[in-house]
Amino acid sequence: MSQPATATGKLLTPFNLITAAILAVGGVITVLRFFVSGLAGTTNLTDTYPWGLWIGFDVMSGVALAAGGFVISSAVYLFGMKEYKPLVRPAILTGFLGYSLVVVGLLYDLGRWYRLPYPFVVKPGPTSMLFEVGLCVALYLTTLAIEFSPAALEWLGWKRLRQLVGSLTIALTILGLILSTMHQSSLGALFLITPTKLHPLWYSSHLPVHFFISAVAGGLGMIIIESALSHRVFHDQVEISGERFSQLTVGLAKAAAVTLAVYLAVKVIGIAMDDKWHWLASGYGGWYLVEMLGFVALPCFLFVIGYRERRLGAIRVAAVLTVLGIVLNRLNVAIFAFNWQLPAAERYFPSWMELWVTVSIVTAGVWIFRFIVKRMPILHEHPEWRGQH
Amino acid sequence: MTISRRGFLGGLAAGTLAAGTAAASAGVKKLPGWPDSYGLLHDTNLCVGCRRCEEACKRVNGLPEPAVPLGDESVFDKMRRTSKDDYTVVNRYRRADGGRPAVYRKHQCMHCQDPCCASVCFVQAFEKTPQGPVLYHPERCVGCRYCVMACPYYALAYEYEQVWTPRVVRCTMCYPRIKKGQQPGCAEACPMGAITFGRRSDLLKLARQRIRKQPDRYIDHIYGEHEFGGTSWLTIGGTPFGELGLHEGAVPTPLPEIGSSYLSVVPLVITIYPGLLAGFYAFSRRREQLSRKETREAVAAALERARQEAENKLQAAAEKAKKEKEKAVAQAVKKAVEEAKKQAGQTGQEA
Amino acid sequence: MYHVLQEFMTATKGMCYVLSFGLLVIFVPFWLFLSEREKDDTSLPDKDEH
Repeated sequence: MSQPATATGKLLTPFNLITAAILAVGGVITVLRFFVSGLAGTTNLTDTYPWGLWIGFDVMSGVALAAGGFVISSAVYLFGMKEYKPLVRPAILTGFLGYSLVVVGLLYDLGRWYRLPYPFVVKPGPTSMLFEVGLCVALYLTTLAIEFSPAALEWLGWKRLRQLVGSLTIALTILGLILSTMHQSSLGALFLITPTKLHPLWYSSHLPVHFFISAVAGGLGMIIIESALSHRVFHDQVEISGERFSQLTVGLAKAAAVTLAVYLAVKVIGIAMDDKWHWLASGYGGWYLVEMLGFVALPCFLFVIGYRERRLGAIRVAAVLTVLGIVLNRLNVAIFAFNWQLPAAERYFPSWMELWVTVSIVTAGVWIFRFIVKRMPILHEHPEWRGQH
Repeated sequence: MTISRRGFLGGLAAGTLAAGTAAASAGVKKLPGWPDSYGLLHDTNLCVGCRRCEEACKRVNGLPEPAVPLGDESVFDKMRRTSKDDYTVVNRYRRADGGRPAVYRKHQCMHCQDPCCASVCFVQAFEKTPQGPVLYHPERCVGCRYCVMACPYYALAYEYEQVWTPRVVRCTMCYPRIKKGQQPGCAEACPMGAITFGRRSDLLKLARQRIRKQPDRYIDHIYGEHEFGGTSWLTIGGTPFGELGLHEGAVPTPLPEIGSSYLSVVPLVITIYPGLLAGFYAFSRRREQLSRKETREAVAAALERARQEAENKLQAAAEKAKKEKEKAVAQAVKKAVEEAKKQAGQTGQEA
Repeated sequence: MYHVLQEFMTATKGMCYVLSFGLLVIFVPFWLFLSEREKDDTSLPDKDEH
């Protein structure tokens, strides 16, 4: 591909205007939440539902969907699948931005957000799964920042630093996989202590394993979606051929098919282990089957067909279903299947402000992603660093 | 052979003890609570729903007056839960009907022996004291509300409307009063003796006594003795505990044990993954090197063959050239000899 | 009561073994079906490309 386009152009594009509007309202809500009316004035959180959308979606789903970074980097650098290298930098960027925005979402949710460092500097509570989540996410965010930095350093032209960071790739990838295994599974482990509150079909002593496997699937799905969108929207930045890109997408479909099949098998074992079959006959059982059949089994099937027949359309639909399924699973665990015995009047639904903050955070992420992709060697190699990772 | 109930329970107890000893010697720890800790006994057969305990609790803790005044029965039309203004609530779980009186139960933090809130707090903002109450340290709290999520008794509330300094709020078992030798406000205020304050071990004895004395009025079970590891608040009565909003059939395993069980995997991941993944990396590098070596060798072999072929061709051509040259030389010699013969013949004739 | 509980646990654990091995067995035709059409193919990523 020819030279990457530089970041010029009009400031008042429709995209910029819409995002600015979204973020402006988000800014007002931010002021309300932090300075005026607190959580009570901006959220629908209650004593029975202390965790809502900001935890269920911004934190839990966000982390699961940012998993593509460790999946692809492990595949390329540890398992020798070098043909997927063009996908590494965009996935690392998605991961880095994703995790950063998870922290932002968390700051909105914490009652005393200014005390975020307390578990590390005041008094750690190592019996808590949340301590482990916090520690691993903090370390992993640092790892992702360093893994992302070569692109920035190439753009800045800081050669020696770039050289140094490049030599750390394998170590960082191993560290990233360790940290990701731990915090992805620990987010599931958070709920191990709530067997009386989480519906039996979603509760399992294997919850950490379920969360980890589904995170891998979610990461693969996000890579397929993000790369498809990037190759359309940032066409001028892309270096690899359309044919090569299609090949890579098809290759990812195989991995996704196997991951989803394994996830389904593990879930079936979870039900069999505690003889929970009879729960499937209830209302919640029906909802569980919707999640499992419509958003796990169906995309698995579509990935299989898409891979065999080399059909990109089926693969992309499957990716969307997979991502939606992961989000649905996290929201079910945190909100919908949580406190399942309580009557409808006491159930929680997010306020419009909670939704708007979430949308604002995602919008900011998209905006920053676009900003970086248009300037830094993410979708193409930097001419001075060709052939090096 | 039939086993008497006592024999069975005794056997179960002995088995549990044996298992506990084995587990303890294997390094698995349990938190049994402090031995001389205080507790409270709630006798639902005696509670009449007067809510004087609620009033006393609010007075002691400086909370607003009850929203629905005492004596107004409409408060029992809905089930209430604790909130930032109500550290304790009394609910009616069964209306009076015919000869049977209504059944009420007071609900508040149970001050568990192995509290979930303490286990899940990532800044250790909860502390189980030797006296029994579980204390909260707001100066450390970050406001993540995992404790509120985890509490199986829905006992914790949060000050969502506080913008800068929200806290978790709940019954404190009147810790300051207990330290001074007083009773908790609710125990002091109860006119029916439905709340008894004392050492937990003494309360268990008292409870068993009441059950033994009136077996038709009491279910033979003290709720909170073993459930989820046991609680400081013990409940007895004639109504099945599941109907009183309590977790009937709860296992004796403390929830923190279940909740933190996964933590033991963390060190395994940290120690196993590096070797495992470095191994994968080395393996994939080796495969790559081998395939490159194979390629090199294949290329070298092909080159060698090509060279050999070229050399053979060259040699064949050289041979051919040599042969032709020899042939040409032989022919030239033959011609010369013939010429010489002819000349010799001519000169012979002349002489 | 204890015996009923023990039988229940034995039955579910036993069922779990059967089910797990069953799933393992099913994975084989799944993988074969998935990888069947790989031989021809230019539409798959070239493993030597990087």
